[in-house]
Amino acid sequence: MAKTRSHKDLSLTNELDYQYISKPGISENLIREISAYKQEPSWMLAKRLQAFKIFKSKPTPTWGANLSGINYKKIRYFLRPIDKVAGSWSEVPKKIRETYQKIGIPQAERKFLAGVVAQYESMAVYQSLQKQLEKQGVIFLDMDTGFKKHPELVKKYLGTVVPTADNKFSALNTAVWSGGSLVYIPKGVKVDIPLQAYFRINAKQVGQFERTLIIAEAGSQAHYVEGCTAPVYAADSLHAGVVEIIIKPGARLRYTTVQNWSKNVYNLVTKRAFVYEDGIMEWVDGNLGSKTTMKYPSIYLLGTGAKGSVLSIALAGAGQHQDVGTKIIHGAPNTSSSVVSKSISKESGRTSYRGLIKIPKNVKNCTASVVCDALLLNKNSRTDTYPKMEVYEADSGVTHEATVGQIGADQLFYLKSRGISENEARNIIVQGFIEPIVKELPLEYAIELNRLIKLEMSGLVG
Amino acid sequence: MSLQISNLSVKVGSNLILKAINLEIKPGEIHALMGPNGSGKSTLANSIMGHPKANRIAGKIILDKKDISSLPTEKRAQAGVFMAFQQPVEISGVSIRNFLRLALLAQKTQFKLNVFQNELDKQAKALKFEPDFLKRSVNEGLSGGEKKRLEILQLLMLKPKYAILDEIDSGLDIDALKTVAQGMLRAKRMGIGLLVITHYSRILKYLLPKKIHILVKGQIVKTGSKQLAEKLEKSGYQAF
Amino acid sequence: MKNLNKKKLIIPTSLKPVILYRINGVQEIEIKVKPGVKAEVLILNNFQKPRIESFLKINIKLYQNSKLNFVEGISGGQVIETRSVVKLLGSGAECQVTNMFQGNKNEQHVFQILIDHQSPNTKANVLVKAVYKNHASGKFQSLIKVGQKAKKTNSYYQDEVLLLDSAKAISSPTLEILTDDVKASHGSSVSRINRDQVYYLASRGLDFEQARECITAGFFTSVIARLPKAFCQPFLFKE
Repeated sequence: MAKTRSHKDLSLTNELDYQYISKPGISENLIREISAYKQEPSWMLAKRLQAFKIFKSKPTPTWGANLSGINYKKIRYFLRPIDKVAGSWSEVPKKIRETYQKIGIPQAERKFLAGVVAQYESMAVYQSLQKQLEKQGVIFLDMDTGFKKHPELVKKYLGTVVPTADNKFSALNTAVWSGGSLVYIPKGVKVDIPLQAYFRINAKQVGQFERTLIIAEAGSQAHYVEGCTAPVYAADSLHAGVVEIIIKPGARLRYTTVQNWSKNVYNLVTKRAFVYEDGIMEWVDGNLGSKTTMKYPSIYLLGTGAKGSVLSIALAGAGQHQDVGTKIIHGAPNTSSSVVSKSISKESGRTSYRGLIKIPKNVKNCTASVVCDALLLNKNSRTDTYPKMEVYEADSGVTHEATVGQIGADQLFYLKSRGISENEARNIIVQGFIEPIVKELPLEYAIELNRLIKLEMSGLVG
Repeated sequence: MSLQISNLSVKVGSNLILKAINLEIKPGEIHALMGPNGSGKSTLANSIMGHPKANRIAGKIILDKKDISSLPTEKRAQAGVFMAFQQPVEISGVSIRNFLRLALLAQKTQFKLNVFQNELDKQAKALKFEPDFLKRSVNEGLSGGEKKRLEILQLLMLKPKYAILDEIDSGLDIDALKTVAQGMLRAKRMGIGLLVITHYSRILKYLLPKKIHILVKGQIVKTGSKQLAEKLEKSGYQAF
Repeated sequence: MKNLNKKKLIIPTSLKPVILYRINGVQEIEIKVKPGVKAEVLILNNFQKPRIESFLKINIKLYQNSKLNFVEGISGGQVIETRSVVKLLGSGAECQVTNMFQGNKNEQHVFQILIDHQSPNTKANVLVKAVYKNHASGKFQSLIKVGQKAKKTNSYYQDEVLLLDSAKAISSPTLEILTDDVKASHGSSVSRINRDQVYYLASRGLDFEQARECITAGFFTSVIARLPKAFCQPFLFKE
């Protein structure tokens, strides 16, 4: 069994000499500063400024989780730890490497270290592209570098999937974005190893506004893995990322996230994929951390025969609210989608599933299935299910099923009769509950996730 | 008088599954069609019955001199074709008794209700169904064996001119196999021509088919008497 | 505002089934089922005239160990809305709700139900079945709420919608569960006529219309077992 790290290790914060630390709060001046600092073309500055206006004009949403605790004035919107993006692991500053070691980068990263784009604070500090990928013409860069090297690509696609005005947080992200990944898979290229990015928040009140753009050209295939874990802080933190994915005809992409932000972070992420003819998009989403998460990875099936699937797990402990779900729009005939969502609520934790399946008029022969299972562990745990199925075309098939239950007394008794302790038995049942999703993760992440859930269950973290 | 398949070629999607098939079954005859998995046996059954996905690109299906090749499925059924499904479809909430009555009405068969009820009870009993069985929904929650016997019950009640039985023997234990075979022999005695699609020769020992056709890769590669089944038993399809 | 019709129905002892009729206009019905009482209530519409707009609000309160079998059958009408609130106030209260909808032409149906479990050992089971043809549409919204005190609750909601032609449907079955020792689930399906079933029936000689009729008739059969016995007959197949 993997060695578990204790909670205390995670709270250690290394002091770093930030070369640039913005003051808390957001203003037009700050945005001009960020843009100037990054030496951006004028169109990007204009985009940022326009986004800032939209951000200011939109109220904080009230239809989902409670976001009243966010104090936009106290958040730092930009900082960068080092000047240059490192080319190899040894070039990464020692202190940062130490922090990485402390939070325990999964084995996966060590194994494919050469392919890791790691984000530290608001900018990537380390990135190394495997030679093999370069040969294939694959672009896998942190977004800042990516934007410098491939401005035309970014200009062409940025904001086409998630428009600036989509919601308050996509506007905020567009105004102050930093970091994230730029991934481009050329036509017909199949990337065998998972492309992994690993990032975390490490300073008080730092907002993390990464922007990721993935373009999978026709017939290509890749698996992008984003995992994050963050230390504990006193003040509330904000993470408002935006992920945009474009899947061209016949391409296939899987996007895996294991989110373990510290328990004071507001994690408000907009993730969306456009899928064209016969393309396949798969979201695999694990939500363990944060104070409040609102995340609904969406799929727009825009070409005939396109497929989409969402697999998600959410775990909410005391004081946490995981408000997750998905939106799938069947915009073309013969498309199909499947959603499996599993959640566990512990102590006063609350999980919510919020989903929309839409089949517009005259879009024929689409099928969709949604399965939501919730497990409640304590008397004061809470779970909600808010699905919606809008079917405007009779030639379709949509099903939704949801169950809510607790750990069965007979299951516990059975396991205990075999000599297993109550805690271990609960663990086994929870692990069995999430197994259908865990088995979809890359092995190293599956181990990491199981270990994290075990930690959460035993109350060592929280 | 016969069910005649002449020069039939069929595509499913973009794949050519059947290539110039010729077959002729006369009233009261039993023919067997054997072949390995994926040889096109079920496609042939579905082509005769007029499945929307079986796309006939050449050839004809003639039933007693009438060309039924272009008719929709229900018109073929009304003309006298029956198919026993390999996997009979469940229709919830529709009792077997009512379903058979509806089917007979659809085929414009003249019948008196009490005569129909009596015959149904008699046939059901002969196929070893309990009296309450007919109240159950069509195929819903039935065991594999029950579904297959129910297909035979429908055959005997609907009395088509010709029937194609797609793997009617699969998943049956020895007793059920005998019951099903006896039902088929009753159908033969009524003058129904039967095309029995199967993997195994065991049911053929009861049925004693007049002819055996071997289908490999969408073509009938050999037609012969029942000795052909014995040969198959020994050497497999490799020999063809 | 059209004529508002209010009705209070207090069911003090176990009785024969009560039948209520919907009217053209706005209607409110309050049903209280006293402790220990077993009640059956059937709401029917017999709209002969076209262009009917009927809005019905039903408030149901169930006290300790009471049981209610509630059935509503709706067909036709221009716009028909039913908004029900079922409060399971006393421990051991049980409620079975069955709704059948048939819509044709441009008919619109809206169905909303809140099942509010406030006491322990309460049970609810809701089944909604609907078939829409032509341009008819249905909107189904449900919320099962299980409060912190409602231990050992068992609650189930199921809607099944069959769409034909250009019909459409929106379904939003929701759950809010605030305690752990409960069983709650829901299922929802919006689908077309199964093509394999149509083919199977065609192979037995039924044309598309006949097959559709047969399948939709079968579709409603599962409701029969839930009806008050006295009212089963009209829904059964004529043998």
